[in-house]
Amino acid sequence: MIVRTLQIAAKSLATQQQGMDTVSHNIANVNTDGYSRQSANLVTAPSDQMGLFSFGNGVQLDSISRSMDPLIARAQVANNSQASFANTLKEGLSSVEATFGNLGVPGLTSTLDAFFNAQQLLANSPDDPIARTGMVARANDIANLASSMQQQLVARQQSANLEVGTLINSVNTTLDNIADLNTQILKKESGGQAGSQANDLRDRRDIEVLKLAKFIPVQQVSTNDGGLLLQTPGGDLLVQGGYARDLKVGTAAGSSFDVVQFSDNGMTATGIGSGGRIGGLMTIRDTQLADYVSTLDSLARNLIFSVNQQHAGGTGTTAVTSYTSGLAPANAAAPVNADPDIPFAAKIVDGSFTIHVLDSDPPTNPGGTAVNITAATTSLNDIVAAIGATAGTGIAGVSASVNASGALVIDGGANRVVFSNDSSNFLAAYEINTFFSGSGAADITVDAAILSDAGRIATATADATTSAVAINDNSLALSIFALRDQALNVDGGTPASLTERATNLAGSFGMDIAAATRDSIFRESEATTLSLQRDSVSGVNLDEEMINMMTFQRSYEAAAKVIQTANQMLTSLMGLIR
Amino acid sequence: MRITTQSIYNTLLTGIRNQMQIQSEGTEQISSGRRFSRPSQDGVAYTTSLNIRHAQSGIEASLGAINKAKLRLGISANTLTEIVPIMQRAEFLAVQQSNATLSASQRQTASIEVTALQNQLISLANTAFEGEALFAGTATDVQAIQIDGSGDAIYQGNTQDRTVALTPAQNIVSNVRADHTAFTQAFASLKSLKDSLTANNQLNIQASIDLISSASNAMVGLNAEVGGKLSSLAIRENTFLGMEMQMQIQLSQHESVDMAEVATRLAQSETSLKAAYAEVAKFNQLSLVNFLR
Repeated sequence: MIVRTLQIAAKSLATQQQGMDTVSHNIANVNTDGYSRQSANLVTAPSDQMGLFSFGNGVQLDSISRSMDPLIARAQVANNSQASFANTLKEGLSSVEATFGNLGVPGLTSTLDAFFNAQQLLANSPDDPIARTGMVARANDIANLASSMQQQLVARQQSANLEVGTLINSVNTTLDNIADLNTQILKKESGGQAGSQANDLRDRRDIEVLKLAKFIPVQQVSTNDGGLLLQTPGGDLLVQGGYARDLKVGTAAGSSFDVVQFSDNGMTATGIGSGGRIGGLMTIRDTQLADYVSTLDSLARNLIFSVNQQHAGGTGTTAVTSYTSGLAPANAAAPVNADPDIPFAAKIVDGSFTIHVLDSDPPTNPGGTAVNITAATTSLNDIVAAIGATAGTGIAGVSASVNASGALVIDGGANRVVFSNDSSNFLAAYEINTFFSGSGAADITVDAAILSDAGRIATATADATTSAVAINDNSLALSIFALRDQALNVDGGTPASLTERATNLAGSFGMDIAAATRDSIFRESEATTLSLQRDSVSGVNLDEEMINMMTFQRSYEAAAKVIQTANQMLTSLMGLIR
Repeated sequence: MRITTQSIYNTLLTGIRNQMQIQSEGTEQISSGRRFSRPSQDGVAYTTSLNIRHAQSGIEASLGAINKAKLRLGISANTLTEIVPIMQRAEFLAVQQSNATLSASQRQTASIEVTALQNQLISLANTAFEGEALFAGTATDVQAIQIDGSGDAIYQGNTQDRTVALTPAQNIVSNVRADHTAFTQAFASLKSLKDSLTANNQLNIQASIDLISSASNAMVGLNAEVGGKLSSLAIRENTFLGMEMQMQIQLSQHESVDMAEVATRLAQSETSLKAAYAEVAKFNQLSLVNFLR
């Protein structure tokens, strides 16, 4: 029986040492990210039945289990995905904040104000060359600012798009790692032996899933055999056991940006945009930044066309004898309101514009001649014919032609030519005698003719009866200045003034970034709470480990004492024999 | 709840980060003097600021436009004021020359002075300011008045008034045209007097007295009309100045930071930060490891 005592004590020594190993493992991993503290679960060894009595066989290690709460782990995965999404929005929006300016530097609103203030000065002194130069400078400011803002916003969209492509590689690596860990866990735990849980591998898999959730939103389903099934929020399979479905970026119909697809079948991964950094990048690219670009573009379109609409029917201090349209239609024989190369072609309506030829004083044709346009039928060639392809065939003193580039040329020779009353919008749409060129924020510029001669800024209109042009007539300048507070809707939608549009753009951005910041703070706070909750279950407490260490140490010492005592008993027994 | 060493450090770190954020925001507010400078700090308030600044910009531009109109009308008023003594002198000459005892040669001499007065009147009607004809409407590159072969004053300008835009919806006329009745009467009455003096026609000279008197009254009336416009402009200017002041106050109240409040918040945060640092140092020593020897 003494030998039996020795065996029980020896088993105890080994078991306490295993307990110490677990404590040591915990202490070693106190700072390891994602580590779940482990516990050595000791049980009594199966007893031996001897006669009427059942003799205990001491202690043995039943299992080493890790402390973790699956509910907290799942909540962490979900929150990780949302926190990463919110942070990406916040960071992405912050990165374009400089584009919107601040109260200390000129922004879109103040630049628009400066533009209209310059227009007011010009209206009040139409023949003042300084007022004209100032007007060109302020118009350049607004054109440059709008296009620069557009470029910066589009560049951020493109960089977000590129980053999605880069992150997909990390997602694929993580998916492969999870599948690989699934295989290892299954292999290690497939022995069916009690207590053979692959604790550290499961920790590593949890970390990989958390990492994956930072990139994309995932749904996880645990399987009975220790495996893990991952799918997108839309239900598309990502990982099952040792199989991982790789993702890739591909093009989407009607968009210049990428979407996330599965490499195996090219189908779009559903629900990817709802969380994670990739979701955040896609959202900021396709929603916020796209909205800002669209609003800015709309503002620029309203500015360009509304100013041009007025400007085309006026004249400046420079006597212009020849005009060339800034735009050339794809087909000079097709109706002017449906040409694909004319951005504002659809704005052309039934109406007319008047050409005044100041060939003498008084002119041959006082009051000018109207060129009628029926939007759906009149072509550029018809307009050329109406004005007269050669002198004397149409309007006296002026001829029209389509040049080698396809642009309309209206040439008065030595005669000053002035337009008025463009009720058809033809002149504005084809950029004839216009202030701005371009079709939106991306390409808005001040007309080249005005840039080289500020005298071409129209401020006056030709007299409806005499065609006379007074040098300080400011009627046209006043109508452009009146646009400052007018609600415009050149491109449809809700009418709003240019200043309202600019203010709303800055306001929307402020609101978006505030919402993203609030969401980010909320998610960070939730992450902190979940981390505390996880620590309370899975974290290593050094004080606890010290106590556990002392417990195992004392048990080890006691077992050793048992061996020493049993040894002395054996010695005593042997003494009897000697 | 089970607490771990790591969770306590994490809590302390989170607190320190939050306090440093408060320090950063407070420092920015104090250095800029504004509650916010960027849209991200307060989107709604930022939009309100932009609207106030837009209104301010419009008011400043309106004040500039009022000055332009005042200058133009002021020069016109001064010129009209110079015309009144001419008409008075002409009226005096007419009364003097209507005396039946005067000879033809004496009236001939008087007609020379009337011609001079006529020329002065034409010269004043053709006054140019900054190179622009003052009384020619918007056709400022032509002389307002020219004398034709029969000695009649012909208006060369156009019938379009020079408007000044105070706001996109408010335009005011900032000029006087030489085709105004006051000018027409003045030219006609002086010509009538001159012709009557040259012809030594006493009856017509007497008739000219009434014409000159009527023209003189019309000129005084025109001058008063310009004065009235200037007074109206002064009232509008005061209104805009008042609005400018109100906007400045509104902007200041809206954007300015409450220094005392921020300083208090910074001081509170500083105390919390110091306490957090002390706690980190102290907690480092509170471990069972330090007591196991």
